[in-house]
Amino acid sequence: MNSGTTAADGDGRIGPSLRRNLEAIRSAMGGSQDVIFREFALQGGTEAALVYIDGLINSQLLHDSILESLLNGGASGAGPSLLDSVVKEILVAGDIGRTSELSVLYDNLLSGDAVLLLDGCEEAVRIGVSGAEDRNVTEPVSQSVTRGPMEAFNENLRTNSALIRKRIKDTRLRVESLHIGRVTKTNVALVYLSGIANDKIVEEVRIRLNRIDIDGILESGNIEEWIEDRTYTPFPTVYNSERPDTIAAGVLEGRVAILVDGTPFVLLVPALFVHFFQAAEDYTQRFDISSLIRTIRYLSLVITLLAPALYIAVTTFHQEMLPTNLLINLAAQREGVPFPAFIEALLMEITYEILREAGVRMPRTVGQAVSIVGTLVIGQAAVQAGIVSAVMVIIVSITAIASYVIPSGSMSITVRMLRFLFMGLAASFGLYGILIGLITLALHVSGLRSFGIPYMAPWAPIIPEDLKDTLFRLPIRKMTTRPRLISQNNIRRQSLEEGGGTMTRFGRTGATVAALLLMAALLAGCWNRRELNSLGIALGFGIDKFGDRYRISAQVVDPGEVASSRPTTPGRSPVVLYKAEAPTVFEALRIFGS
Amino acid sequence: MLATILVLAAAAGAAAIDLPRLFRKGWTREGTVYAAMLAAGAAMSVAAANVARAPSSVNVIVSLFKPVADRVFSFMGWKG
Amino acid sequence: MSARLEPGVINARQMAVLAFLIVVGDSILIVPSLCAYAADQDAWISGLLGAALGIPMLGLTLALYNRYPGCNLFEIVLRLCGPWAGAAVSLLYLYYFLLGAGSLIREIGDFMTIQIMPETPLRAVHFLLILVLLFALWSGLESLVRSAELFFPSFMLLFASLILFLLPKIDAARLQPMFASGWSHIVHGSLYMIIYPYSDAIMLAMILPSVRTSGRLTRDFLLATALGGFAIFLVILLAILVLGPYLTATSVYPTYALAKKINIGSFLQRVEAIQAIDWVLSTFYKAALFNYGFVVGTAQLLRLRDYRFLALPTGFILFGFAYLVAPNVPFYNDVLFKYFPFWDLLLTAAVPVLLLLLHAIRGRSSGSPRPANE
Repeated sequence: MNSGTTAADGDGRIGPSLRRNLEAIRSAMGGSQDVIFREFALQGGTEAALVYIDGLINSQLLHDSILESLLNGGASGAGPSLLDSVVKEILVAGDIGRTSELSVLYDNLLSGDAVLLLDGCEEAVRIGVSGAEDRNVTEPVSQSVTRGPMEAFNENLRTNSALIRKRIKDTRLRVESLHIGRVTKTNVALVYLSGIANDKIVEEVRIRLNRIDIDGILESGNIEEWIEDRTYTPFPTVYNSERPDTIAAGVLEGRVAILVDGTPFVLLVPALFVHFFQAAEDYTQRFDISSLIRTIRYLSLVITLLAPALYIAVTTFHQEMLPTNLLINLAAQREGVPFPAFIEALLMEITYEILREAGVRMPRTVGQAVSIVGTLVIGQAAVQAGIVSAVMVIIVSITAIASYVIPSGSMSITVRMLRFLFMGLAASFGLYGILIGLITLALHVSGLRSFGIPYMAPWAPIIPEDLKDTLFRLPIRKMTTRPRLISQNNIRRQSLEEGGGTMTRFGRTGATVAALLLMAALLAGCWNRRELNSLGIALGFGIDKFGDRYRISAQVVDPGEVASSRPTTPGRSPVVLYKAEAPTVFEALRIFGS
Repeated sequence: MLATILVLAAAAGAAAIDLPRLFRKGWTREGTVYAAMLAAGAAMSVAAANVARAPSSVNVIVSLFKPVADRVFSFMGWKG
Repeated sequence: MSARLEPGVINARQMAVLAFLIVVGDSILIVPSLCAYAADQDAWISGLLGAALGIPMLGLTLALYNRYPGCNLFEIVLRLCGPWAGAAVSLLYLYYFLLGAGSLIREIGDFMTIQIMPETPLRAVHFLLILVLLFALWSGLESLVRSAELFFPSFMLLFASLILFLLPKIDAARLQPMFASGWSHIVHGSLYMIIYPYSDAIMLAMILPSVRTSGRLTRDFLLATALGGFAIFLVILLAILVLGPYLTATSVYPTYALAKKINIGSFLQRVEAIQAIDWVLSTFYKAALFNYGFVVGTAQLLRLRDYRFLALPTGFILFGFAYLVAPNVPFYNDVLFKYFPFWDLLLTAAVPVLLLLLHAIRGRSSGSPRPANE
């Protein structure tokens, strides 16, 4: 980190001569125009200079308070004592420090401090007046909610740590700073709750961060790749968010946040698989709603991962699984398609990925045009041109939409990537291939760890008390403990739940399961169910008597001929006449039924 | 023929990847076992890949237990 | 023995999941047919009897392990029998494990190529499966067990759906006449219920040393295997109730035939390919543990310093072995019906009993269990 190679002569100390010092700074900065040297004389006549970088400091503040007070305040003494008096009696700034090293001076200068040098003093005073242009705290762009806080982090590390502090007002909240990057010297801060976070994990994070040796860190993604447990895995093992409430919730669970100056995306470790499916809104909505949405998210995971693969497997290997009507329908649609199902699927999925990437990269102004073209390509036109079947378009669309239901962007991309692998397996081995792929995937994710914590933690290994916030979210009152593996020393979150119910825990779940089972047993009993297309709609009805026999005739509509959307087949009547004859009306009706 | 070549190439590939690593670590014993198992495996795999007619590996068990099994089955009156 | 070969540690619950999968795996596919062939419509009684007799057999494995905590099967054998006799017995077990893994791979291969993908070559199915088996071996015991835990809920869900969806199809008359086949045949049927689910569970002696010590190990273990036995019993019962004894006995994979019968409102039908996932999955875990036992046993016997590096050669051996196990399915089924039970009983009942006796004799002569060598 502080490798001491700031500039060619950055190792020297500050000398007594102001002129010489300023010369040294000027040559170290290579005469950059944005370094301002404001020379002036104190009231006692001592030469002084304020050095700062234009744009990094708040010039209003500098002029109005610092410079003003320096020019007007009466300081006495000479040399070191003069400096003391300036610091103690004149300077109105709060954040002040002293140094005698040139290298430290450069660091301060570059991180947005103004530096005050006095003639005859071998020390410089650093004045914190940093005020570079920052974005305001705005609404989160990538993780929006309909209910919940609307603040997002911005690019300033101090603002970000303050946003967390605003939410956790506890003395145990620790903010540890360090600098990473030999050239960029990026400010990085570790935020955790001491006493709740696992000390071993905090120590591990420190070790891994200190191991980073790189010239520049421009975004938290650079750090993420350095501190991952395993590089060669498609799965993210570090969570990132731009929402202060998400990060604060993570810190409260005992996880460690890593803030990086210059990016609104804050890292959170350890990050387990389930964390990528939790969204901030899960905790602001009521538990039943959240549970339903959670379930839908996992369903979307399955759809994103497997929908195209299952389509390929079923249509090319296991046609018997489809109901006959659907099969005929599909076959009719695929009649003109010149590609095998796999190529068809691949074509459409890749087209979609291209469109998506274009949508992200292109300038806002042409967005409209591209989206119109896109709809045409993976929509009507492709089907009408006979290149793909309509079902394929549906599959691609549902896959695409489902992939965005996964709240975390990094996990969503992972799943979309793996989807292609499964399509290949399905194309060569059908469902067997998909199963083999799933086993491989399960073996892989089971072996992953995030900062020592098994990646699939509450599921594998199963930790029953942590399952409350995974597939379902239990009511907040039930979530009495922190995740056990992450925070090992302080687990209890709230006082014990109320002792309201008379049924025991098992009794209630047992009763629910039994009720569900009973309902499932009724599944087979849709006795009076009739499908629309097996239904004959009678428009006219007549009974004739021929001697002692009755003839019943009924006029039944052919829906295909009446419906206005489809062209009618010439020469086909929209109605069909059915007749039945029997000695009694009842018998004739019976014949009708069969 | 193609199948044989494929199997042998795969075996050679496996040996080329793993054996130097083992011997570099000084694991002579492990390397020897590895080579022996690989040779046996490759021989069997060649037979399998060519769908060759070969005696079943359970024939030992069958011939070993045939007298016992036949006697037990007939004594108990079991179907078999 | 020197340092432990397996660095991974699992807990009692994970062990129970594995035990369940091992009991159910493969047996769920082949046992109903064998039982029904032996005992006709009384196969379900055989199932109950077999489970009742099979669970005590697991007690044998546990008893052996409790005498030598921290030792896997091969260590126990080598300690009790000495280096030479121990090596001979170890070789027998190695062959048993290899045969187990090979024949299970072959069973999956046969099942896939006969029932689901008739035009795919057997070798291709084997190849893919062996790749995953090797990946499992290479990932280590911990990953294997955790992935089993991951699949466990979906396995149970699929299994429950099989049972539930078949309820409308049952016909109690198919159980009549009860006890008609006579006790001898019922005992015969129960033989298969003892052998294939429970005997094979001796492979768990290979992973018992990796289980974190907990007082509930025995309870969890027996509970899981009992549950597994109950699952197989349910399948046998359903097969008799839905298909009848004749069809159950004559079809190679009655469970598959059973799944074909599912028809809920003419919509939920022909889901046998989905149900097949369950059987391939459980059989995979059983094969993976047989394979694990084989490789770790080899490393133990030859005093190697690791076992994972043996993955690739093992793959070749398995690929060859799975093919060589049997020339065709009828031969294999014949072996399974007539000869395999005796071989299994020799290694999973007779040898463990002998080992226990040996331990008792040694214990009496020297006072405490003492390692024979080293």
